[in-house]
This record gives sequence, structure tokens and C-alpha cells, in this order.
Amino acid sequence: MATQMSSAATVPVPTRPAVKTRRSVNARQVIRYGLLYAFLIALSIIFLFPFYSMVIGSMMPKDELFRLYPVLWPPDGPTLTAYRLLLKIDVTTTIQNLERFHILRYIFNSLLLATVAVLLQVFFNTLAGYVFAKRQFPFKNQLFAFILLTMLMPTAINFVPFYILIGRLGWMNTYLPFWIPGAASAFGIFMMRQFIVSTIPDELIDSATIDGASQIMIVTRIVMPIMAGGMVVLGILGFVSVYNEFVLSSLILKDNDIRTVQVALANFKGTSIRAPMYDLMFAGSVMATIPLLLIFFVFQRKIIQGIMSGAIKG
Amino acid sequence: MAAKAPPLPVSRSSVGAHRRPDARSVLREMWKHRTDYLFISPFYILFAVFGIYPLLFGIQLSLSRWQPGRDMTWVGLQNYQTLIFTDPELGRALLNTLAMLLWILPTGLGGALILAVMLNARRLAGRGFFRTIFFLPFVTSQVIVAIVFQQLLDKNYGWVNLLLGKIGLGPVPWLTETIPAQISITLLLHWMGIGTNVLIFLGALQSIDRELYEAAEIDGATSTQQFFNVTFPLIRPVMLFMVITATIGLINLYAPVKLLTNGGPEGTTLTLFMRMIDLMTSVRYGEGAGFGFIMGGIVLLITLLQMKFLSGWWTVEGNLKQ
Amino acid sequence: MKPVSRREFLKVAGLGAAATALAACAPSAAPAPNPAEPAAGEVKEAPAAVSSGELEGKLVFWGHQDHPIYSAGQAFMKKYPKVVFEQPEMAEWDKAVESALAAGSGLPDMVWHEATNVQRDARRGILLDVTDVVKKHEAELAPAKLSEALYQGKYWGMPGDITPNNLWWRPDLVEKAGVGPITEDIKYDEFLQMAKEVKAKTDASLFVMEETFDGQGTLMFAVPFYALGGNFTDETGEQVLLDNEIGMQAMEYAKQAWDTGAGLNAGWFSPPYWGAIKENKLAGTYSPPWMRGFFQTEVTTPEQGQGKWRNQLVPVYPGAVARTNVWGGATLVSFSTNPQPDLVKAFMEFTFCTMEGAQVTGDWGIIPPYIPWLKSEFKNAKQTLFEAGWDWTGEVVKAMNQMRNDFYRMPGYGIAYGALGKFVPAMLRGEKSIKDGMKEYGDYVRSENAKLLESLK
Repeated sequence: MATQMSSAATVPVPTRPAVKTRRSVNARQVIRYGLLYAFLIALSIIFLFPFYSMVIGSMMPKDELFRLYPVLWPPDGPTLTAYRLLLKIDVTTTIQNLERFHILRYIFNSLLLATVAVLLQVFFNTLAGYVFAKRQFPFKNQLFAFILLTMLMPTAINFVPFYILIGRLGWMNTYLPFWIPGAASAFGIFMMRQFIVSTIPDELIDSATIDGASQIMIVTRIVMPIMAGGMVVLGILGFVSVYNEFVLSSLILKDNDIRTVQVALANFKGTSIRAPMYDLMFAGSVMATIPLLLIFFVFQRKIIQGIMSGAIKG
Repeated sequence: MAAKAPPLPVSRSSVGAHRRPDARSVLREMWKHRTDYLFISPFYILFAVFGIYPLLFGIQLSLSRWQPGRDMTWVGLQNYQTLIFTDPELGRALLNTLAMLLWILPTGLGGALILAVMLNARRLAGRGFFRTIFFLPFVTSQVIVAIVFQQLLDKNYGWVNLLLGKIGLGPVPWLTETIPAQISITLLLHWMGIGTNVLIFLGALQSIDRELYEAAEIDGATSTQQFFNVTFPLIRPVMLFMVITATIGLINLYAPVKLLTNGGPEGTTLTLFMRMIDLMTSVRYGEGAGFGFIMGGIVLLITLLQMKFLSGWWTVEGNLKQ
Repeated sequence: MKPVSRREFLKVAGLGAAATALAACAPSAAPAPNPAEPAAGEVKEAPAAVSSGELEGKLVFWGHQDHPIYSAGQAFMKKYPKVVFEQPEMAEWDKAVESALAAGSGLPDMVWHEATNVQRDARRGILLDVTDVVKKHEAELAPAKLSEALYQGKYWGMPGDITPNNLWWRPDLVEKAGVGPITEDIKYDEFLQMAKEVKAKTDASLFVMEETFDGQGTLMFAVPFYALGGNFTDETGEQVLLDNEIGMQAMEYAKQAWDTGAGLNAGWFSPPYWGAIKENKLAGTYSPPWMRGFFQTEVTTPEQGQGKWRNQLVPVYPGAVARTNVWGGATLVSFSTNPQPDLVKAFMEFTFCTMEGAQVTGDWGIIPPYIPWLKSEFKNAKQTLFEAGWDWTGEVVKAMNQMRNDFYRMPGYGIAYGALGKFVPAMLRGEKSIKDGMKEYGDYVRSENAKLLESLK
């Protein structure tokens, strides 16, 4: 980026824009944006379709979900029966254990689990990513290569010993296994390093250092504000994957009150010896997805704001 | 290449590349950088606690016969021998996985980058809306995604074949014959993964100074030229990150394939990871661990090759064509 | 090895059949709206087989949601108020069991185990030896089920549900095609011929056969294989036998079915599968008794076929020694490290060796292996699926009497069954001859089985 900044400065800026081509440029622009919109809207429909299926599926009686040929719209109109069952609003059911099923509680658990995990992840990974991107110190390359190497091990090998470890630490039925071990991850450090390398000019760090800023001040006052976009990207990715994590959670979180929503919903999935309860599963999934979408929609603006309002120009 | 030494290749130390320092001065240098070590220490501490034990356990496991509740019986390299010479699935799973890697990696990352550039277009209204839509598959439960794709792609009762039938085509055995099934998996992975890839690329694109584009525009560069001369060079560090993590992810591919085809038809979409899980869950832990390390070796080999060919992508310096 | 001789079992079960035949004349019990309805309230008083000492403690069971053992647990708590029965919902309890074994803690008191896994885990030495309690009731439990829990002369679990397969079919749909009825002594080739006509005239299928060959379609191979006396492995589980003459003959029968093109080609338990059933596109299928519970949950109106099904012996395969097959069916097991074996055994005994337990699990929809219940109460089991006057329990008992005591579901059975989808489609499509295909299939299972047994040592 350093070079980029200086190269930008060296480009001669003409005082007058090329006025005579303006109209044709605009016409081209209109066509270009028209095509762009057409393409994006077509693609959006494809991307929306499965989500639509889930939403409309959650509003169908099971009879309509179990059809030889799938239906796009319930013939008798949408119904909220599945939601009422899940929220236990004046419905009696014969489904075993459903009276112990508290979907809002589970969603809250998942949100709590993911929020703490993400705050830790974003902070520690940005810290380490900055150091690897901008600092010079002995054994830096070896230390970084080691981080990359740890990514190569297939996670499934870890599984059994990790579980044993969690048991010995007494962390069963707690959220600690989801907060602590993942607080600094190879993926996150690698990503933040690459983001910081291509975003923050060395000059900025150097001048701050000369001004006597401590490293922690540089990270919190300069790097983090500029990297807000990257941190949001990392945060969203981390949030969704922790929120939707299933295998580990299903083994560690067994108590009814602390289960996450994905673990709870898995019971409707059916197994080789039980038919799935698609209606409840779809409705539960819609409810579980709403907080994720809200979070994404709120934070995705940040991704673009980042640098333009940041410290570089200032 | 610019003033700063690229952090890799691994063999080269950034300290005293020009002169050999004595131990004392290295220590002094390290003490001077104690805050840097402090900042990166969480990873190593956590790895020491949660990573090394599983790693050593895994190595020991791969050299033993073991099952929960029993002692390990040392068998030397027998598990590796069994896997390499007699495992009926290793070869096929490797081929399947590499084939998927070969076509999914470039198309997935390329497609995501193009989409990200489109979504980054300056005057595009509703960017937030579109971004949210492309992100939808990522937040949707994978189980539900699999159900919907099965409904879409079912040979006899799926929407896609119903549509194709209307125009006199098909039916295409989307999930029940090898090539169509692999295409279906590719589509599913793109569909699921593009949201995150776009998100990361958007994060990278935001770092590019608008002035650079304005300057290039004034120089008369077309948008294609702008892409190759401004955008691409500047996001290469992030691209490198994407290539490496996507490679690792694809070699460890499991859940989507498990849910969509379960390795079928006739085992032709079986992935390496699926085979490893099969071994583990059928009480063949030693072989399963050995399989994992063979996979780790394959990933190492491929990523080393990638790093070798993409070594210029570690930093942005010198990438901009004037 | 076989605790009860075949003839003896035929005798007791034959009694059951007679009793059932008599009962069929009486007006049938009011159908229950839902098989999952807990029936704890209707438990009949039965001679207490469980020692009357006051039981106390907490029992944790892992299984899928909506489970017969859950119903049994509720009844057990009612009977022993100081006992707490808990079933946390576990979607993938097999995996959880492995992890808990590895961690050395966190195992439940009991899990619901498939026959092939009982054999596998008995060899691993991780299961609780429940020989004493099973031996006590040996004469009262279905022998074919007993053998599934037997390894080296000891019982490693309480026999769970019996699953003799029948042919289920819809007389109304078959009639509509102008063929039928399907008589009890129908030959397999006649059955296929009929299937073709039904398909041509009403677009309904008389059997299920997915082209990926997993799920219910596998019965088109497994039923003749069992009927002809085939075995996936020998009694020890060491020899793989599936690619012998019987295996090839059975695969030939499966191919004949495929070649008619008349089967329902939809993934098992997928929406089109249920759709076909509810939209009257499935006129018949080979089926184990426990499918009744699932069908009843989904088929809820006469338009969808409620009360329109019949069950009977599967068609006659030339040279058959039995006219059924065993598919699914589990065993209630505990672990050798369990700290309260007496309480666990008392629960097992209550669940499958008393009238009360059998009644509760039977009402849920499975068929408990407890012969006294099968003889007296089974005929009253509630159902909504079969024709009101149809002696469906009698048909199940008939199939039960056809069950072989020399069919083994050893660890290799699981491997073999899981690999069907890998090898069979190519044979069905004719890309591979049955001889070559079965050889390949057999060799694969042989190699995998040897490695599994090696790792169990």
C-alpha cells in the first residue's frame, strides 16, 4: 500500500476532465449498470430460492412438505402451526419431550456463545496479524510458518483427544471449549495479516512510532480503526461458524438449559430409524437464522466504510 | 521485490539476512521486541495447551492399534502400510478430491472475485441488499440446504428436471451418475461458499484507494485494465490467503458432500475426509489417524507448491504496474 | 448356542397366531390417532417379574427423539417413584458414545444399538454382560432376537424389537389396475408381472427401488437373500459369504425387479417417498413391522391410504427356506463400566420381559420380543394403517415363524449392508455381470471385515 499511495501521488492529475466524451460515457455507463443489475438480480433469484424454500416450507403442514413433486406455495395458504408448536402457543402435541424444548432460550445461548467467542477471536487475531504484517523481530518467519503448518492437520484427528482434554479440564457442559481454544486461530491470524499487509502503509506505523506511541496504542488507535472492515469480515465469518457449529456442541453441551439452537434442532432431523420432522426443523431454522441475518445486515456496511473514513487520509 | 523481505520462504530468517548474529545479540534483539512476542503469544500458548496434546496423541494413534478404553498396542508403520497398499478407497478418494480441487478452486475464487468487484461498483444501489442475498447460503443450515438441493436435483421429481422436461431435455441424473453428481456438488459448493469468498474479497477491495482508479481512468484505462493493473495486484496477499485456505478446506471437504450424495453414486464422490471419518467411526482409529496424516502430507505438498509459485503474493510491494 | 429350539418357538408363536385368529373375529380395538401417543396410562397389571425391592437412582438413556424406550421410561418411573429416567435428545448418539468411551466418562446408562453394532461392541468388550437377566427369561424371548445379543455364550444386551419383513400392499390400488388380489402363495415372477401392470395402468409402484440402492430398495435383494438361506457372514463373523451362489441368485432377483422399471425410484424417507405414499403412488412394498409407526404418523386420512393397507408373507421365491427377512431392529445395551448394573438390568427386564413394558413399547409401534405378550396382547395392538378387518398381527406372527435362527448379523453385516450402494447399481444397469459384480462386492467386504475384526482384537 505504501507504494500504492506514492504511485497515486505521482500520477499527473489533469486539471480538466475530458468533457467531449461525457455523454457517450454516460450511455455506456447506463448499459453497463443495466447489465450489472440484470445479472445480479438473476443471480439473486437463484441464491434466494433455497432460502425461500426454507421459509415457505416452515409455513406448510407436513403433508405439503412431503409431496411427490415439491410445491412452491401451500395450496391452503401458509400456516404458522410449526411456529406455534415450537413456541408452545396454545397447541397440544404428542411429540415426546417437546414441553422441554425452549427455542428462544437456545437461540439466546447460541448468541451468547458466538458473541463472546467472536470478541476474543477478533481482538487476538488482529493483534497477532498486525505483528506479523508490520513488525520485524527474530524468528518471525519461522513462527509464522509454524502457524500455517498447524492449519494442515485435518481436524478430525484432534477430535477424540480434544474431547478427552475438555473432560479432564472439567469443561464439559460449559461454553469455555468454544471460547478459549479458538481465541487465537491460525485462520484468523493469517487472514488479518494479509488484510493488514495490503491496507496499512508502513509510513503510518513508522510515524506513530516516532511520535512515541506504544505498540498497544498503535494497534488500538491506528490499526483497529483502519482495519474495522477486515475485523468485521473476520467477526462475521467467526460468528456464523460458531453459531452454526454442531458436532462439538452436541457432544459437549448435553444439559437441556445450555444447549445451542443447532444442537436442539438436530433432533428434528430424523435418523435412519426415524422420519424427519421437516415442519419443525424448517421453522426452527428460520427462527435461528433471523438473528444472523440481522447481524450481517447491520455490520456489512462497516466492511466498505473502513479505510475511506480511516486515519490514512487524516 | 521491495525493500522488505517476504516472510516466506521459510528457510530465510528476517533477522540478519546479511550478517550472522551471535546468540547474545539475538537475545538482546528478542528482548527489545518483547511486546511483539507478547502480542502473538496467545496462539502459541493455546496451541501448546490444546494443540500439541492432540497432535502427539494422533501421531501415537497412527502408529498403534487402539480403541477407546483400551491401551495402545504399538504396531509401527503397519497402519500406513495397510492404507497405502490395501485401502480400497484411498486412491479413488484422492482422485475425487484432487479433481474437485482442480475445478472448484479456480472457478470458485474467480467467480467470487468478479462478483465482489461488481458489488463494489461505485454507483450500485442496493449493495447491502445484494451482499446479504449472496451471504444467505452461508447462514442457512447445511442440513436444510441439502434437503433443498435434493428437491431441486432429484432425477424423477426435482424442479430442475421438471423444467428441463418442459423444453424437451433430460432427465439428467444429477445425483445418481458420476459426472452429473460431481457437477451438482460443484454447484452446491459454489453456491454455499461464494458468500464468504465475496465477503473476504470485499474486505480486501475496500482497502484500495479510489484515487488509484480515478488516476487510471484519467490515463484512459478500461475497466478490465483497471482490474488487472490496480485491483488484482493490490489484493494478491488476500488472494494468496484465499487460495491456501480454500485448498485446505477442499481437501478436508466433508459435510456438503456427505449431505448431498453421501459419497455416491457408487462411491464416485467419496472424499478423503469421508473415508477418514468412516475409518474412525468403524473403530479403526489407528488407520483413521494414519489416514489423517497422509491427508496432512498431501495438503502440505500442494500448499508448498502454491506458495512456491505464488511467492510474490505475500506483499503488495512492486505489484502495481504504472 | 441356540437357547430355544426352533420348534419350541414355533409352538408358542403358533399359539399366538391361533389366538390372534380368534381375536380377528371380535371388533378390532379403536385405532389410536398417533402411534407415538404415550400409553402409560393404559398399562395392565401383570405379575411383577421384577424383584419388588425398592429401586432408586437415575437412569440416562440415549436415543432419537420420540422413542419406545422413552415410553418405557415413563412407565418405569410410575412404577418406581424413586427412579428418575432421563433421555436427553441426542441426534448422533453413536458418535457421542465413542467420544465418551474415549474420555472415560460421560457414558449414559443405556443406548439403543443395532444388531451388527452389538456384535461389534461385544467383541470390543465394552458392553455390560446381562446374561443373568436374559437367561432368566430366555424361554420367553424370541430366539432369533436372542441370538443377535449372544457372543461367546453370553448376552450383551436385552433383545429389542423383532423385525420380520412382510409384503405390504394396497388392495384398492391393485384392483384399480384390474389385477390381483395378491394371494398368499403368489410366486415372485407373478408378483413382478403384476407390478408391471399396476405401474402401467395406475402409475403406482408395487415395490420400492431407488437406483442408488440404499434404504428400503435394498430389500429387493435382502429379502430373497434371506429367504434362500443366505448369510452375509458365517456365525463367527469371520467368513464373508455374500457372494456365493445364493447371493448371486438373490441379486438376479433384484435385477429382475429393476428391469421391470416398475419400482418407486425415490430416496428412502425423502419427501418424494412420503409424497408417493400419500398420493397413492405406492401400491406395495416389502417392509419391516416398525415401519408401521412411521407410516401411521404420515398417513393420516383415508385419502392418503389410512386403513387401506394389508400385510402378508412376501412372495414365494423358488427354492426359498423362509418367507421373510430381518431388517433393522435394535437391542438395549449398557456398558461394562456402568456403576449401577442392577438398576439397569431391572429396567431392561421391565421393558422387554414384562407385560407392562411390552405393552408400552408395543403401543409405541415396535414389536417387543416378549412371547407371553405376543401370545396374549399383541392381537390388540393399536393401529390405523391396515384394513379394519385385516388380521395384521397374525400376518406378522406368520412372518415371525418364518424367521431363521441361522442368520447372523455380525460386524461384517454392517459393512456389507453399507456397501450395497457402491456395488449393486452397476449390476442392475447391466454394466457389470452379476458374477463379476458380486465377486468385487464380496472382496471389498472381505477386506474391510478382516481389518475391522483385526482392530477389534
